[in-house]
Amino acid sequence: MVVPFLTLILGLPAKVAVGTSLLTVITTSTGAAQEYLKSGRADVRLGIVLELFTTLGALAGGLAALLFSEKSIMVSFGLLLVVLAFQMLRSKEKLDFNHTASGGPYKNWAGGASLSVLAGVLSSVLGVGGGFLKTPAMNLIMKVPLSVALATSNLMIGVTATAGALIYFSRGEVDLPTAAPLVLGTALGAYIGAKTVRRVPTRWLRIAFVFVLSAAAFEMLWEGMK
Amino acid sequence: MNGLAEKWAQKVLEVCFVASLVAIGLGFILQFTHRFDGSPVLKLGFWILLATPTLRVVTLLLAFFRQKEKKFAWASAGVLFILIVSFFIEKF
Repeated sequence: MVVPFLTLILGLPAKVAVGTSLLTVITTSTGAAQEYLKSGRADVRLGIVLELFTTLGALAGGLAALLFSEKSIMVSFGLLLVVLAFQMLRSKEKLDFNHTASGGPYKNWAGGASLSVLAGVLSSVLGVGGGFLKTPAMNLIMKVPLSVALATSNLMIGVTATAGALIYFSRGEVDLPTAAPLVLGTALGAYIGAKTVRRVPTRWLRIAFVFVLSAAAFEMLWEGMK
Repeated sequence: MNGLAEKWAQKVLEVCFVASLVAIGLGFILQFTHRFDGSPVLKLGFWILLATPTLRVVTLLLAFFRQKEKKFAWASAGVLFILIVSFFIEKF
């Protein structure tokens, strides 16, 4: 979401925008996850196991980018997101924000792991955190309660974004004076978001998430078919 | 479930988050005063931010190891290993 803003409105080169956006992903993750850990909603065990697969995916992403065209990757992910958005919309699960991480038992680890690999691939190809794929993967496939899935995905995206961000940063492809206010603003937003998420009516939260999923799907299909 | 792993990870995230924001904020303000060069402070803040997720994985590794949760200690070690590999792969 940050990349189009940086390239279109601030006129930054695409590479610098991706590097800077990855920094804001880490900020979101760090700021919100500490709050989620305090309230016991992020599941560190589930997170670390799935991180194993996302980081592998991110590593494979570099290879995938060589084998397939970026456009075909985008179209296939776009279609996958459309399917997930529909399923989220149909989900009848009642959101309970007092739901804390229980450590399971969760179902279908194989399915969750495979989607985590895909999220990692997507992350390294497009420079995003991939949380919009991890959250529905955990919720719909592994039957993790949505609030725990959101919090755990938040914890995970920091690690996924780190590998990419390190590369851009060490190459000097991050514009620090531009990144500073963005990071400070994101930090404030993430902190307030994690603090207030309990008070948001549950239906609104699901609708907002479906909206974000659809927007991401639309953008990917659009870019892929251009 | 609020065990050792959760507590340690939360502390690491909190300390690094505050430290990096203070450094980034200070560096950003210093850039407007022309008497000091803010960029080293700014850079330091960003390095802390970048290191935070990795530090969190290291913390989890230690916590799981201490609690004898071998399966999860191995998972943490695996994530750390992949992070290191992906960093060096890009260097080539």
